[in-house]
Amino acid sequence: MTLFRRVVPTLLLAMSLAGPALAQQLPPLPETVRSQGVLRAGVRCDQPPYGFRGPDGGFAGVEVDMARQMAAWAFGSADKAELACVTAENRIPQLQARRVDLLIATLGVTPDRARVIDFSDPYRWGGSDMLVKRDSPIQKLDDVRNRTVIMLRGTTQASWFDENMPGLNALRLNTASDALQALLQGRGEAYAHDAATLVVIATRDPSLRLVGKPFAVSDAAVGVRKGEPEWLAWINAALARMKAENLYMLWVERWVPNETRPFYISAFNDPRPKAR
Amino acid sequence: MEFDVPYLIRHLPALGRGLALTIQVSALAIVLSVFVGLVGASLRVMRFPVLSQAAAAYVEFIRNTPLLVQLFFVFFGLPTVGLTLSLFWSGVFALTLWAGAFQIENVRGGLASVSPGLNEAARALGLSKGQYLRFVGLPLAVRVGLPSILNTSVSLIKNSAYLSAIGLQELTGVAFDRIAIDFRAFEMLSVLLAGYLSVVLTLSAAVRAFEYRLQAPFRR
Amino acid sequence: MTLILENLALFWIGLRTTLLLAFFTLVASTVIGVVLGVLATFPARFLRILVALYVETFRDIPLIVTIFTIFFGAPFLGVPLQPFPAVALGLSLWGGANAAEIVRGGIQAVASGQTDAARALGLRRWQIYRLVLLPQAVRSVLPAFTGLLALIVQSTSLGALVGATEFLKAGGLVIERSTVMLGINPAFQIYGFVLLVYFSICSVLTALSRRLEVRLAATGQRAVVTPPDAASI
Repeated sequence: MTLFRRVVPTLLLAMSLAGPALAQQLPPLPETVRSQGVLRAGVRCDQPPYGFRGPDGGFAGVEVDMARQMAAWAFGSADKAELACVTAENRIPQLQARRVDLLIATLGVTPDRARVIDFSDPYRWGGSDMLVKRDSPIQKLDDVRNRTVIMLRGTTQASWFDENMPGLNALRLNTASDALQALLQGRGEAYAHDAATLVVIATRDPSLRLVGKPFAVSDAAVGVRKGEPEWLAWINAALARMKAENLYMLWVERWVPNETRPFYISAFNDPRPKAR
Repeated sequence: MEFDVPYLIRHLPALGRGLALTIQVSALAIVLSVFVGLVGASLRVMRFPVLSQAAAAYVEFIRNTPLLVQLFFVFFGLPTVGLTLSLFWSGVFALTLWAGAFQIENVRGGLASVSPGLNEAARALGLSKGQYLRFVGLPLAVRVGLPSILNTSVSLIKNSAYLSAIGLQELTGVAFDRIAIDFRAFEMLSVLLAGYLSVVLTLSAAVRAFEYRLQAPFRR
Repeated sequence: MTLILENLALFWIGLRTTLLLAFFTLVASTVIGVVLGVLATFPARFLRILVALYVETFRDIPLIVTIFTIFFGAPFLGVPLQPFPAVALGLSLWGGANAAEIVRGGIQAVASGQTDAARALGLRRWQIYRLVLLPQAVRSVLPAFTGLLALIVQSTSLGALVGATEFLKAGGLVIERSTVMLGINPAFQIYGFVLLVYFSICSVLTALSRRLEVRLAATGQRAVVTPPDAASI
């Protein structure tokens, strides 16, 4: 009798505390977004495994899945995600022009960007690396000082080289596929981009290899326009829920082959490392 | 909205280098395109069996297609069939190809206004058609067509801005790259607007003044 | 070739956007052009200077810079413009500048005796424009306007650079897809195809422009307004 009286209230108390944690309620959706009826997100279409074109030509990738999940939580179905392809150069202007309401587009957190948009809490970190031809003499970052480096306009790599190697002969193109083609055609000796994407390309093409010396490590976060605190709060809550429900693992497993998985998993789970 | 003057001053050297590249690319393309114009107009006038039609087709094709697509074709398309030109030379080549077509028309227009009597006189003296063109026809044609040749050249300088689309670091390219990194669109775009306006306005005025002087012998 | 056929739907979407852009630009440019062209023929000197300033500005600044300025600058001024409207606005401002020159030339080409006679008849200024000058100017500017339309169609390709999915961008997307998924780079064929399609559309317009010029000459009226050449914009 006394055992029952001691155990049950404790059980009830435990359950009432666990309840909210299990439900993971998200704050209310701001009216401006709710009235759209769809979640308009800008994603990458040239950066596997985060945002790229799937085998059927449609949107695919870990970040695309993130956007679809947010749509499901916001509007009840993953189909309520209206995705738009953005490039590194035009993603922030597209956000400001209200073509999309949020960016899940391999967007690195930088102070310059923070001046014009607001960032959510970071959901992963990412580093940069360089891709070269297999027989290239380039072994480390400084080897490119007198050579032509290909990169994309508006990326963290562009900023990094601009700050750290201002005299560099940089070829700045618009999409990852243009950059890859330029490397293969010999227009440049190295292609600098997010390590995550270069790893995928290197595994696909044996004639190329990664230099393997990461640099310019930064957090990646969701981008929204300034002055939308409710929306930002909702997104942060959604990201926290994704982490709590271990959804990132699910998506990484879906899009990344076994061998390279640990690399991506650590990007989502571990804190950001220090690099140059 | 603040206008960050120190920021602008810090980046003036880079913009200056971009302007220098604009001038380099444009100057080369202008010279080459005038050459194309002279050769092409001669081909048309001399009525060679295949070459004349080819020149005409070339002019028609360039005039009816966008310069940007021509540029992408040269920079992205040609390498896949074996012809890879460097960034700089792709730009020069595309601009030359484009302006050359218009220069052909400009020179042709000049040739048309040369009095036929001169041609007959040259023939009577035993000059071949080619010699007539080289020593009499083309020089006169260029003098008459100079205003249009120069106007096309000014347009070429303006259109060198398109080369930023393939990543060439000419004036517009430098400005757009900075905007993509720093987001100071206002400052950079002001420089671009001021830069192009002043360059094109000055050159156009110079061409008009030159045109006026050319007309001097014909004015009473 | 099969690649083009497979992606016909995407190309069609791009082409539709191109034609829509061209249509809007033509309408807007005509409106701007008529208003400014008429104003430029008024005796008031400051009006002529104002119009000349507008025309010089938008003809001297490269079109790519105008469009980028609108696309990047508009949000900072508080007016977010999506790619399509931004491109349409930029093209219209440029097209309007060219149209204004055409209209001005067309009005001025109408023999001055007509204006004197109309005034002698007691017609007021707006009546002179509406009943005498503009109807005659319309016929003589048609060839030039058709030529301008050909240039407008070509200029819509700049939309690709700010993210509008018009025809050139559609081509780029097809190339990207093929390069990434099939490993072949069809840039030569696809951009060649894009060039051919533009050529088909614009050569028809240019030919029409020349035809109109000939027909105009047949009626004794010279199209004193030369069609704008891509090299003179």
